Amino acid sequence: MLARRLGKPTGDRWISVGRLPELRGVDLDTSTGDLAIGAATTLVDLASSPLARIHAPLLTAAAGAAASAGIRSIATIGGNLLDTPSASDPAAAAVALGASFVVRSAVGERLVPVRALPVSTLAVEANELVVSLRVPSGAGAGWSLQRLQTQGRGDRPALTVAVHVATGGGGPAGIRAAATFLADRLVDLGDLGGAVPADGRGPSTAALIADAALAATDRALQAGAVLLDDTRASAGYRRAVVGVLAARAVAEASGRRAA
Amino acid sequence: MTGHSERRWAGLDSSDPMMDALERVTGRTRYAIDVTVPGMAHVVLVRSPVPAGRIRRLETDAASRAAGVLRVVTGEDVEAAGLAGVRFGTMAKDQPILGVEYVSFAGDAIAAVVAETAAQAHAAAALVVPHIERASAVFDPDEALAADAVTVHPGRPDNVLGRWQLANGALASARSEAAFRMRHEFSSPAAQHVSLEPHVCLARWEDGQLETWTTSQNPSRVAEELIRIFNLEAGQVRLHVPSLGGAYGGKNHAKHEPLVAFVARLVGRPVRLANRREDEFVTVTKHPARISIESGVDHGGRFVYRTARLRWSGGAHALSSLAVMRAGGIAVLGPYRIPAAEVESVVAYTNLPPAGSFRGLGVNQAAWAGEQQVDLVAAELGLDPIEFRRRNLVRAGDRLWTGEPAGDARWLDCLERAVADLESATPDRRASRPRPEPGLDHPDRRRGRGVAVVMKHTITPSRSEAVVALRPDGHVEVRTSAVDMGQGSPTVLARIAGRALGIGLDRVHPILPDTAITPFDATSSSSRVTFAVGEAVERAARDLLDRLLEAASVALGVPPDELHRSDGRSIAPDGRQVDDAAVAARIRLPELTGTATFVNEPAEDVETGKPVSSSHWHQGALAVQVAVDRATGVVEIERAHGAAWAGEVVSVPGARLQNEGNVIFGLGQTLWERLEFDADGRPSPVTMLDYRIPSLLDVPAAFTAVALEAEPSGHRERHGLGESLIPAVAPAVGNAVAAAVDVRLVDLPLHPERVRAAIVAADESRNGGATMA
Repeated sequence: MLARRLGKPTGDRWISVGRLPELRGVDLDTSTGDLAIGAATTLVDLASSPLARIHAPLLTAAAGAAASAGIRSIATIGGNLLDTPSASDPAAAAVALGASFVVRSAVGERLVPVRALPVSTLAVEANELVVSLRVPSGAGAGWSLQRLQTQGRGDRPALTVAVHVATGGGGPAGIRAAATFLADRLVDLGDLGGAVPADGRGPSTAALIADAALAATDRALQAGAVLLDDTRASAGYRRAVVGVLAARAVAEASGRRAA
Repeated sequence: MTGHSERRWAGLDSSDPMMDALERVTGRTRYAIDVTVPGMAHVVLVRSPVPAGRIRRLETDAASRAAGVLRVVTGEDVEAAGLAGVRFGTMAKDQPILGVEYVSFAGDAIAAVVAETAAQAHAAAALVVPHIERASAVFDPDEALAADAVTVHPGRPDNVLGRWQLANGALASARSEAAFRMRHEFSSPAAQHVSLEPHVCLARWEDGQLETWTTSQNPSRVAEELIRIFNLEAGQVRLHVPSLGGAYGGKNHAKHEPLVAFVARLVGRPVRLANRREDEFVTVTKHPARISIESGVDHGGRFVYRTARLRWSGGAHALSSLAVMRAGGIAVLGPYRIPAAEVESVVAYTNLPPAGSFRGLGVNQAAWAGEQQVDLVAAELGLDPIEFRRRNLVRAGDRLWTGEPAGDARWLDCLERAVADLESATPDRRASRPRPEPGLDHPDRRRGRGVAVVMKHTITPSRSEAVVALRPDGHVEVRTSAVDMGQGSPTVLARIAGRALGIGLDRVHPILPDTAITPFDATSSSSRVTFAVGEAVERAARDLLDRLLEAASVALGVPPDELHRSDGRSIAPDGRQVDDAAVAARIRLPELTGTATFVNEPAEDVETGKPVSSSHWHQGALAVQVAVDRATGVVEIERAHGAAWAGEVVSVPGARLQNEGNVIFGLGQTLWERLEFDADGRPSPVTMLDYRIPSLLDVPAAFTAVALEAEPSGHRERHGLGESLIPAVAPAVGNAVAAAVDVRLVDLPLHPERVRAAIVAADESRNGGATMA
């Protein structure tokens, strides 16, 4: 409907799937341990889901922070991720968590990683429907959502960095991060854990993480991403602070990780 | 602190709401956009895409043929009606009804499309093709004032919209005697008022009578303009002002009313114009300003002299520019003892959207400069900035830098209270959101504290009239042309009338402006309603009371001066009583009225014989604590504590809301609001998606804003509180940021990107070019 109001090309006929119960709610797939979130689950329902808060606290934090209270009560997680994912707090969280869309048709279903989202909406075939979001359980994992707001707390961020630190192992690996509101597409900052030397020697961890995040951003730019440049922040400012937020996110997430 | 208290009115406490609060928050308040009349059509403006040029031709055929269009009105229609030479404006007659020959800013109205629906009018307006011979434009006030500048308006070759100068004391000798001399320059950007309700105007003509519903803070003046423009008698214009959804000075000018009335007469139908949000940004803005200020002090840390030079960009029309120029000029040096001073304040025409009055009326820009420089001077002397202010603030009996007596000087009381609340471990948190005060959770966060003290005049002289009428049912109507903008004026005026008459609020009915029945009022701006209209209402209510007691004395057979009043009844010493409805019935008149006029004439300085600038001063101080993130530049206002001089509080919740609103309103302009103009003078951003205003989420974790009152036994002049704190927000925060990270920003807003850039530059400078870690 928003696209229609904005004058973008849309179809002639619309079918509302908003009230299909199969597309709503949060469940745990006991066979895989993954969280299954119906695509039509509203952000407010997701944010307040006890199950999701245990298994994907990063995602519930992002869902609870996105947009405004009024919008969160209407917007769905599927819609939020698929409509301009580059400007979505939950999208950053979903990428850091390694989440995937479940796309179903009459003949079967396929998984599409959120991090594979193109610049705009995910392409689905005519007979397909995005039915849910599958999120590997992050229970006990470390997480952090860093939102930098430059025009007040009621505004969308100028930059969001989400970080997920895997449980177990005790080592530095398994630090996945993503950034939104940074460029014209989702920026997967990848595994920042590789930047941290196992012996902890050398430059500070924060500086190494910041450098790694900046390098990942620059790789995304070389691959065609274009930094956002708007009233909230210039492109240069966004690039300058992405590492700062990433380092803070890793520090916070590491502190939250279960021993 | 001495000489004041925070005593609450007996019988009135914070549970007393604003009279219209429930209607406003439940969406039942009727605004101008809600008014419809039979046969109403809609008018949409066609705006100039360029900032300057001659209108050669307008292609209107396609628009005229578009669905629903009744007429496309152009300058030729204005010319044919003999109104091409008409100019209007509150302070300078420089606004045409519609562009006839030339355009003076991008957004200037060059045609008006009238259609059955607003959507049809908008669609057709897009079909009008203007042919404008583009001319050079000027956007910067200093460039506009240069000798070789292009001219914004023919006939005004120097682009000088106004100039105000004042000097006092022996400046030359003071300069030579000063132990320290410092000069700094500051600037402020354009901004927009962003009242939730945009400008709306509806006009209809019936039998040669013009009736208008409009969003104006100035109904009496706008009615006068319409009478003049259309050559009418006073009784031929009736102007209504429903409740406004905010104004903040942006509706203090005649804007669309003459055009809408003209179009309605031309098409023979009632028509309504309702601005879209983007139209608001070219209708009126806040003045961009550039201010240089110089101070000299002695070894004892006292001002020896101060001078300032202010340059304002007025945009293409004057609106309230002359008042802004003067108010900022008076306020820029602050409420300090300054033996010698000189100020020059000049406002220039530029090819930008018109700038008008804006909550704070130029004092925001002035205090941003003046109060930051106070801290810079204190730092140069190695003095604590609060102590420096204590040494220099005027007290009762002192004179202001203008040479006039400071009058009821309470600035020091305001400062001490604000500082005490900031330093208090347990400040009054009633106004605070239940959000814990954030800690310094990472090493990049640095804390700092800052204060600012402000002075602002009120319009002097000005006139307010009031009628207070007892109806046959024993209820009382309070008729004034004070505009209800959400600031609570109906509640305040009703309380004043009710108290004077000895009746409860349930029987007092404030009437919104309707020039057919409400008397003249100068303006609902300058924080003057509580003061000036309130005084008129109190006098009118006492006038009514005299008549009421006379009538009651006849009924009770007791002299009027032996009666006392309680709950709408006049009571004799022996207990016999008569209620107001019975008195009203006895006199057999439609109503019993009391009337009054209040004029705040400028008092004459007994020593100099000169009139004073203001009949009293709005006085306030703000103390804040900020946390600055050095790595991102984000400034968080953790604590804000304000104190404003009220003299006498009429409505406790109203005073609190006004004071808090001052600070919250100022946060956005301090931290992120800024209107930029492109190469064609077009503003950006122009949507509320990108032009953000503060929300309750931005309220500091610890936040108080108190209204200080005089002792009950003393003289208790009521002060308006609409602007006493807002000018203090930006300089207090600027001073706190400087204290936190040792970086002084001289241009607003303190957007994270600008703060970070300043920190990086300072670090590079300190490190000899090395970049920040």
